[in-house]
Amino acid sequence: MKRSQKSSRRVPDEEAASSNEVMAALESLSHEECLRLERYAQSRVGSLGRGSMSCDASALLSEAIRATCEGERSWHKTSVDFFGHLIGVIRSKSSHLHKKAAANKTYLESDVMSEAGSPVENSPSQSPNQEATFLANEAVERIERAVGERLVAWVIMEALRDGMNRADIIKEFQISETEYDTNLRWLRRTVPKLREGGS
Amino acid sequence: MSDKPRDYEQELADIMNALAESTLEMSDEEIALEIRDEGLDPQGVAMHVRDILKNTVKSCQQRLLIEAELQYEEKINAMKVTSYAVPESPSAQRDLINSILASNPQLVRGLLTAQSRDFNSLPDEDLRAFVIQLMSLVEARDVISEEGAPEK
Repeated sequence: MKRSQKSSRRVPDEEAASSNEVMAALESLSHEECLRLERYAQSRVGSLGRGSMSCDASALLSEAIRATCEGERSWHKTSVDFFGHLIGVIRSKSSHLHKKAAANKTYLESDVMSEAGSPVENSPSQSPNQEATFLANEAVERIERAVGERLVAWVIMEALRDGMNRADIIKEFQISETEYDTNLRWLRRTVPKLREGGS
Repeated sequence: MSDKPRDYEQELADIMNALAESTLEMSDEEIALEIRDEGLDPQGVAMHVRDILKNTVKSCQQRLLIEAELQYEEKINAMKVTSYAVPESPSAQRDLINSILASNPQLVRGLLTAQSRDFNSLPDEDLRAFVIQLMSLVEARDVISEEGAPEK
């Protein structure tokens, strides 16, 4: 069988799971793992904002499993469990979409420059790049303003951005598990709305 | 204080990605609660996820099967197009098979299936197709050798 023309990442063919093995692994995914996959895909798509290019959580999940079956991102079954593999593919696919969206925004930058290299006068509107920066600026300010009113939520958001995990945040900042969970729940519900301009 | 201007797009991406990664540390109860908060039924969401994944695997399997069938048909058609001089009588056909295999031992070792290796038990009516198959294999091997592919 001819596999995908794209090279499979670091997984020798003989160690890559077949589509039948993928199907069997799928059957054994727990109810909780399915829910976590959906939430993760949903969050990753949400983090793309307008750069999602109409990709939703279902499409991202489907793309992750397609890449697995077709050998583009083979599942190395002896080194990672199936759930962990899918999380990795979803993360990588959404990062790729983010980069693609960023590239699409920047390619028009030259369109607003004159031959002498100065911005074209009387440009009817901002370039896509400028607009994106402006929107991001506004979104970050909205988020900082709203989250800044809740000290614990602010601490959690900043710590997560620094790459700290739940246990470390709870220990380092001496907050209870309930406090952490309540504030994270608020952040996850509120920040995407703030990003899109809501309050 | 740094004079470097803030990269708001990167900051926004970092915030959103950090929240996305927090999903992996949430308890099962928190996950279910968040789904219910959005007015969804966790049972239905889990089933939906499983359906998406299963359907994608099935469509991939079907696509790969269709591709394999097309490749097989192409090979068969190519074999039909190529005309080989095959003797008419079964005994002459068996002699030819012996002769081809004797001069191409690697076919017996590597290319032929176990069933095909026992060609003496092949019924007379299958001999012609088997001769054509062997001739095609020899021809393909010669082409590969001429093109410089490593020959084992």
